[in-house]
This record gives sequence, C-alpha cells and structure tokens, in this order.
Amino acid sequence: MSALRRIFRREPESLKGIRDRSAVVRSAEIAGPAFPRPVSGEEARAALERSRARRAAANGAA
Amino acid sequence: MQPWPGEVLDERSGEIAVGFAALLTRQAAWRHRRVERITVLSHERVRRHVSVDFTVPESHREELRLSESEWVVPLAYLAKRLLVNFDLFMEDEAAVALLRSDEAQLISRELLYVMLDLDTEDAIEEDIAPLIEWILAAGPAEAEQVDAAVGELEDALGPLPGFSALAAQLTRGFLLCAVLGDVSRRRVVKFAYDQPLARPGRSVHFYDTPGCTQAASYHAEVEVPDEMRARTTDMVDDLTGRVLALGPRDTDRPAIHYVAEADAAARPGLSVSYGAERGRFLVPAAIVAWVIALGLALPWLFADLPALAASPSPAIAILLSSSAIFSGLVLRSGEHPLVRLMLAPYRLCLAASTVAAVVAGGVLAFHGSSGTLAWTWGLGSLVAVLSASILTVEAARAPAAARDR
Repeated sequence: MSALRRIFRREPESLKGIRDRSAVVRSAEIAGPAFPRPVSGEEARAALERSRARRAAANGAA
Repeated sequence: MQPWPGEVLDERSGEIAVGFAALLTRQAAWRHRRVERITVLSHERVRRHVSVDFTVPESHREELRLSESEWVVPLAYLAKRLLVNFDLFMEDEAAVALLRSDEAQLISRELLYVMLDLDTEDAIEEDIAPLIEWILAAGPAEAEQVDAAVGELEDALGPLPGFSALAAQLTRGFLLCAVLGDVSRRRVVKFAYDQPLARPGRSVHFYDTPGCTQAASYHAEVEVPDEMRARTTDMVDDLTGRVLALGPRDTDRPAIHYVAEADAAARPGLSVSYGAERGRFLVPAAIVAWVIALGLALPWLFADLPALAASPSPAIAILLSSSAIFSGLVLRSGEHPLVRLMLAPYRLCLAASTVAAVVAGGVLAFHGSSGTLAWTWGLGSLVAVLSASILTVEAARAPAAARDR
C-alpha cells in the first residue's frame, strides 16, 4: 500500500510546515539570541561595573 | 599561593562576559565561516560535523584571557539535553578543552547582568538574582514559565530586548566555550555529535540549521549513503515555506551556501529529499517483475491451462520456477539501512510477484482443477502486472547513478 501511496502522492503546494511532514533531525545547537544592536566592549564594561556596584550595594544593604 | 582553576574563572568571569557581550552581538564580524557536514549513519541517526573558522579581534583578546596561556572563546549555544558522541577538536585534530556547563554559567550569569544593565537606565530596585539563577538552572520543561517571568520583569521595567533575547536562549541552552592556547591568529575549531531522527521516516528529512545565523558565511553539505541520491536539497524557512537557497539536484554530496540574519521569526532548516538509485535494484526488479507478469498473463489469456496441467512436467512450470530464482538474486539485501527502508515496499512488490508465480506454477504442476487454475493464474497475473507497473513507475522516477562512479 505504501508503494501505491508513493506513486499517487501529490507534492504539497507549499513548503510551509515541511518540518512536520518530514523525518526531523533536531540540531543540538539552538539559534543565537536576536540582539537588538551590537554592544561595544566599553559599553559592556561600563554596564558590568554599574551592575556590580548595584549588586554590592544590595548585598551591603542586606 | 596559586588560585584553583575555578577561582580564576570566578574572578575573570565578569571580564570574559564583557568580551562575550561584544562578540556575541556581532557574531558575523569575527566568525568568518561555519561549515556543517551531515552524515546519514542510518534511518534513525545522523552525525553532524561543525567547523567554526574565526579570528578573535585583537581588542577583545585580553577580555577573553583566562590565564597566561588560555583564552575562552564562545563557539555556539547548545540545547540543554544529552549530547551523544560529542567531540571537540582543533584544525589539526588535537583535542580542545571546553568549559563545563556549570563553568560557562559563571560567565553567562555576568553576561545576563550586563545585558540587563544595557537595556535599562533605571536603577533596579528589586532583586533579580533569583530570576537570573532560575534562567541558568531551568530545564527545558520550565522554558515557558521563565519566559513569563521575564515578561513580568519587562512589564515592571519597560522593554528589555537584549536581556530577554539572551534569557530565552540561556533558559533553553548553554554556551559552548572552548579554552584555547592561542587566539593571536585565525583558528578553526571543529565539533561533532550524533543526533537521532525525531520521527524516523523514509524519503524527506529536515535538518534544523540554527547555526546559519552565527557566521559571516554558512555552508552545509550532506553525505548521502551509497546507492542513494539527494533528489532535492533546499534551505527552507519552515514558518513561511519560503525557499531560502536551492541546492543541486540528484547528487550524492549536495552542498548549500546561505547566510541568514539572526531573526527570531524564521526557522531555517535543510530539507533533503532522498531517492534510491534506479540501477541497483529498481530496474532489475522491474525487468524480473515484467518477465513474471508476462509468464503468467500470456498463458492465462491464450493457453489451454487444463491441457498444460495434464501434460507431464509442463515447461511453463519450470520457466516460472526459474523466475523465482532470478527474483531471489534481485531481492538481495545488505545495503545502508536507509536504502533498505526506502526499498522495502518495492521488495515486497517483487516478492508478491514471485509468490504469485510460484503458486501458479505449483497449481499447474500438481494438476489443479480448471477452476483453480483459472483463478490462481488470473489473480497471479493481476498481482504480477500491478507489481511490475509499480516497479516501472518508481524506476522511471528514481535518480540515475552518477556517471563518474
């Protein structure tokens, strides 16, 4: 029966949802985050220092 | 006294996170090329080989330094699930050290704080440490709950696009970080792992390719098993059905080149439609099936079967028996498991045709009644013609073998 089904099969009109109709091999990886903009090292370092100061202050208050 | 390696990482995690923030928000700027090779091991398993070709920008090398002679480089995000047969190598096949997931968490934690601080200028009064720890420790089943908690934080603080994007991926995965002894030049790091087919199937496979957003240039190629061809190889966005890149048709080593933007609204993947080559099984099987079909149908239509049955050792019974021997030769097995799976229905067709021939020959040889002869040969002819037609159509559709083989 599967041989007959294959002979009379119709190709789907759209590839939308092709993943659900196929044997799927998931990647062990996941996509990288879609960051809104590039971050420079200086910006990141300043953010780290602010964040650490805030955390230190919070810990001190606690 | 020398600090322990864990203490060094703890101390350096903030500085490394600064380097990561710059590198991960501009992945294509320093990762030149990424190549994925997919080897189909069986109908249930593939092995994916990934190579990442990169140069760490000079301005960020000091940030990534772990010790005098070690630098930490982020290679990819791996999903939080079991890895099978995972290997990590340099370009010369030398093994590479990698950070354990709990070690990578030290950097990820600082990275989350950095992204949060970049997203909001307002001082954060509430303690978000429990949320960040939950993000890092969450299992795959908790992803939606963590997303909801991040959404609530956004309701309180305003949009946090960088933090929420990173939090979503660190809830579902972790950073794969290599520890390298030299980042002063262009390097190639390779890793490989086995993956099962989530729904074992026959002819159409879909390989997720999240890595296509993570380098300036992305190449994917598929090693097709012997006796098979990749009929079509397309890079497809599963969400919209849009074909992003077309690969060659009917080849045993399809390759595709594509670079996508890191776009959360797209789900790119490699859709490969496989076909068994016609020359090894389908054409010989179709020929044998037509010989059997003619051997059954012509006598059924034009010969006097009861008279043949009455004659001693009818030649036609011998002819039909010999066709069974040919079928046995064509029905041989021992190919790649995926080829065997794909050809299984057609082997059944040939087997049905052979059984019809043997039964018809047997009824004739054992002098069956005229009614039994008519039914057996009629049904046998029908089965044999149907099988031969199926095999012929599939042989015509199937790809030819490569001329250079």
